[in-house]
Amino acid sequence: MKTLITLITAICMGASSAALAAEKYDPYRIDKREFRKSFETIALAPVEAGTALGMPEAAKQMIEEEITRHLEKRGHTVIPSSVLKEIRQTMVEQVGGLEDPATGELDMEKVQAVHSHSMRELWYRHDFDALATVRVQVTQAPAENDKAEWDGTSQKIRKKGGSLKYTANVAASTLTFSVFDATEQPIYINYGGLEVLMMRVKEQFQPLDSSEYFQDEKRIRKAAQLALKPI
Amino acid sequence: MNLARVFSGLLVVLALLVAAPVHSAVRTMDKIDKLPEKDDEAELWERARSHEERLVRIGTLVSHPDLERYLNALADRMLGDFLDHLGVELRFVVVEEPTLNAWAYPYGTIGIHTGLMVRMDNEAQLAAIVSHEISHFLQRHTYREMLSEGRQGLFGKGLGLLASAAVATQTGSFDPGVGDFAGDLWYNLSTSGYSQKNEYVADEEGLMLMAKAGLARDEAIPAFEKLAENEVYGAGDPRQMWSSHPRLEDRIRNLEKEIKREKRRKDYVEGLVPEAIDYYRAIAPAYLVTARLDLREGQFDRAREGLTRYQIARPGDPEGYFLMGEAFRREHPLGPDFDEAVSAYGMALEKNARYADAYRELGMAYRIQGRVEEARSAFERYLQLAGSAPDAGIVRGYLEGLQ
Repeated sequence: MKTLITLITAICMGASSAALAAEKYDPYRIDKREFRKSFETIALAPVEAGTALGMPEAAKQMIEEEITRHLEKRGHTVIPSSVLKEIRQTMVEQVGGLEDPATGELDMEKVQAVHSHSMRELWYRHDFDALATVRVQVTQAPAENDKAEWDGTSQKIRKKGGSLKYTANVAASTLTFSVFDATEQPIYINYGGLEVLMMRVKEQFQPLDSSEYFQDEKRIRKAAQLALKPI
Repeated sequence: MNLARVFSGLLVVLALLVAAPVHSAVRTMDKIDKLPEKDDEAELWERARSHEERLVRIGTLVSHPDLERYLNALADRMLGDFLDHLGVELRFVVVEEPTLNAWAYPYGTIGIHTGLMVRMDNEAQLAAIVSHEISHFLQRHTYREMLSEGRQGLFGKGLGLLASAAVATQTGSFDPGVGDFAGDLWYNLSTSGYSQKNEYVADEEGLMLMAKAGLARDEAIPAFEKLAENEVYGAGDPRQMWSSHPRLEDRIRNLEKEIKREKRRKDYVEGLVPEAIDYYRAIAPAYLVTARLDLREGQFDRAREGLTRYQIARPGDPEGYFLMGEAFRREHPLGPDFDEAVSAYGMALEKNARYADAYRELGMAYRIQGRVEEARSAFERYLQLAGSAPDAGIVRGYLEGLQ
């Protein structure tokens, strides 16, 4: 029943999403030439992913490799994410861990403190011009007749069953690549579709098992390439 | 003069101005004894209420009792007891949002952004905007627009965008999906405006309400000109649309014409331009709220402008000076010049020598400059005052690194 509702909802939402997707998107928040000229050295933050996705470290590493390769090819110098990761780790220890010792839940004030100080410390210790963040999260991918298309990529979504004519929105993962200047203002934000998280089985959509996520290296690397393509 | 009579006359004139056939079905408020008058109007109210509730749920509508009281008092001076016979109460909700925007829900709740309040120079300018929105409510413009043929299918986008912008404020990303939730409410609110005719009516009635409160109508011109300031938000940001309130230039010209016409009248009375400092004091909390939002958005000049006014209004409050320091520091986080930020943090400490955050920031600035002893002293003082702060361990780390 749940999946049927998903299918119906998905079909209803299809048309409006398709219209949104048709709009031309400019990832630059500043002039493109200024981006190349003024932001030579770019520091990378560790790749983050929604917890529900359970993204393996190996997949994160592939994304960072692609990003580094692309930026260096375009003449940028890249500071690897391990630098910020190490600063963060030290600070997490300095605040005695991020969890509230009484409840075991995340202490959001500590999370905020570590985030804000670690960014400032990175700027203090290293001479660079911009910080790039990468986040993999769940999005809705418009689909038509068993093919989902979103954020520059596409994927077949039929697992079982005969052909059907329909439009729908299906869950998919996408990569957001953002670059921020020293004042923490975004100067570039772009997306690269990664993979669908549900498939059609006969007349229903079924979510994939999380063990099936991030198995396709080509798709992982392509998502990073798509997000960085305009640079 | 009896206020109700003034409004009766006014509303009759305005009813003639909006005498399109479909509009004639909507009677002015002096002709009815209850609101909402009809079932479809009641339904419209319900839908608008669900939008307001949605904004409350996502935490965008934050109550500011002092600001709301001030706005209510201002509205009372313009309206008197005019609404009493309808059993409807005019109410204000203040939205924490740095852009300039205000809108009217059809049941008499006026939404207003702190960003709009702080960009106005005096009470008369604020009254120009508020009275315009009150007029949309008095004239039941939303309901008229709903009935207006050809516009019904477009209803909904306006509120959807408001909700989307609210989500953008919360999450830093524009979520067009929120528009779906708002449903088919109405299209022409603060994003695209009402029909030209209804906007003119609200502009002109707004001027009359200002006059009623004894405020200078000339101030409506700079007030409306300031609406264009949302252009600082980049292309693609839905909030930028509020700067292109429909035909803004046309409407300013219309206001100028209307003010000139009023001035030719023998009984014209020049209103007052109230003291700016009284206004700054009345809306002081809005300056702090908006400055924090401006800092997050990288609007450093705007933040400093608002904080300067806050310092005039509340010279003894260290927070205004601390945030001023933050505006300088965040604009140039790595210097090389830290003088202005350091001076502002110093001012905060002059006002309150136990203002811990100012010591931490002084320590951070001195550390970058290599002024080790000053950095150590500032960090030590911070830890004395805020030893259990979430970042105390990190600051201890900085201190150890200074050895």
